[in-house]
Amino acid sequence: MVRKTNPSVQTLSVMAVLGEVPVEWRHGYDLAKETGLKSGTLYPILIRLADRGLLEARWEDEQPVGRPRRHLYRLTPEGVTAARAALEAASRPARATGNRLLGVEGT
Amino acid sequence: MDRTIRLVAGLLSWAIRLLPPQRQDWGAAVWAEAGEVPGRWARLRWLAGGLWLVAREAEVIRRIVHTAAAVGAGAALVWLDWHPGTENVAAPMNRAGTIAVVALLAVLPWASRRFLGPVADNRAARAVRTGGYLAMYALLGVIVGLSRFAGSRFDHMVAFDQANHDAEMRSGAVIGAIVILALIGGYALVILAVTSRRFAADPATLAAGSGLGVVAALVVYALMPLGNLLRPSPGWPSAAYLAVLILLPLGLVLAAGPLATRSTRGSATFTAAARRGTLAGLCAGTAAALVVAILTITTMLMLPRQVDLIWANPSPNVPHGTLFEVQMSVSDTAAKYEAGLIAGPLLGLLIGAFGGTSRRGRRLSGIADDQPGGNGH
Repeated sequence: MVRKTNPSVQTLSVMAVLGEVPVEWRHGYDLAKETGLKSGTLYPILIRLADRGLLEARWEDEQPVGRPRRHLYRLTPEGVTAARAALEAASRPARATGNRLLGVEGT
Repeated sequence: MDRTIRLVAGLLSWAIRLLPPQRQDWGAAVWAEAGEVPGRWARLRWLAGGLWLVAREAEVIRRIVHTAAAVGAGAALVWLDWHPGTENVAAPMNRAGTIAVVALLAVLPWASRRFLGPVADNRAARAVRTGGYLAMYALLGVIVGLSRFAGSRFDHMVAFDQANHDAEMRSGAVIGAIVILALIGGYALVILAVTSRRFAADPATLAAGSGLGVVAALVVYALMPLGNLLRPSPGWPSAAYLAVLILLPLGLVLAAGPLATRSTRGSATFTAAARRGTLAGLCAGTAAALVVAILTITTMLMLPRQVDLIWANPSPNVPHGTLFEVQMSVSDTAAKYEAGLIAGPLLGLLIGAFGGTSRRGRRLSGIADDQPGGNGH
């Protein structure tokens, strides 16, 4: 059973970063740098988003030289809609910022 | 990479195995990206975050807290059982038995997880598992209390053949310890199994069975709080008392099967209805036997002189109501409830199976009546 709760500030920041360019795959350290979240906070958020069908995850296809393969993430179409709605609700006074983060113009 | 980082990375790599299979990729993702984090402390913090993720997702902290609580409760029970009041040859065996039971209760959830999986993901299963396990500790507490109260009745007993008497005491204690170990171990295993993800019991069946079992136990306890039959006026009050005492609890256990089967749709097979009824009956019988034994024996220990005396010596010249006789009476009456712990689940199984299948049978015949030519399947 999926509980419906208001997303936390940290979850919103992850959704905002992932929503900047929704088609692009991002990796964990990259997200951590942008959101300023520690791995112990970031990954549980990613797991919850994936559990709710808002995030898709996959491993890099090719084995890169000199480092292990990365786990990659991006929002699903439902995730993009949910992220827009959540950010809209959470940042009404700062509407312009939320829209910019989501790459939405002119609304 | 320095030694500390290698150590923490190795620990994380090992700890990932503790995660459920569907979560292991996430732990591996943290581990895989650790090498990209610049700086020693930042990399260590990244890896520590991975360990925290494992602790969270594998419910390691919750399991450690549960095990610590189990060990703490067990240690308290062993300490209570180590009372100096009993000085007979059976005491060491009784203490060893208590330690074995406490160890079994603490280890069983870990050991059974490999075969049964974790607790089923629903509120009824979690409530039944928590309530059931608390009841097991309460039952062990009652057994220890009984030992503290009545265990000393054979102290300093001088027998004609002392060696033979002591040997009998010891073998009796061994058998008693084995019975209690098997009984409590069996109950714990049933509780863990029916609430496990592998067994996948229907939540409504668990709730109906356990709930009605507790109600049946409360009825029995209210009518026999000290293990004695109350003495209403002869005639119809007495007959009504006995009828309620016998029929109401049986009826409640019988109702567990049909109540559980009610949620079965028409497509359910006879076997499914029987399984559901049997499980509901097992839960009801187990819960009833546990609750009635815990409540009644506790009350008996609080009010031992109110328990009906079982005449230890029929001679009118012997004084009655002595401490020895009270201890014997409380112990013998409590033993009947301990025997009820074996009978309760078995009786519940039979009654539940009957209740589940009889309702199913009625439903099938009803469907057949509604559908011309239909066979109800």
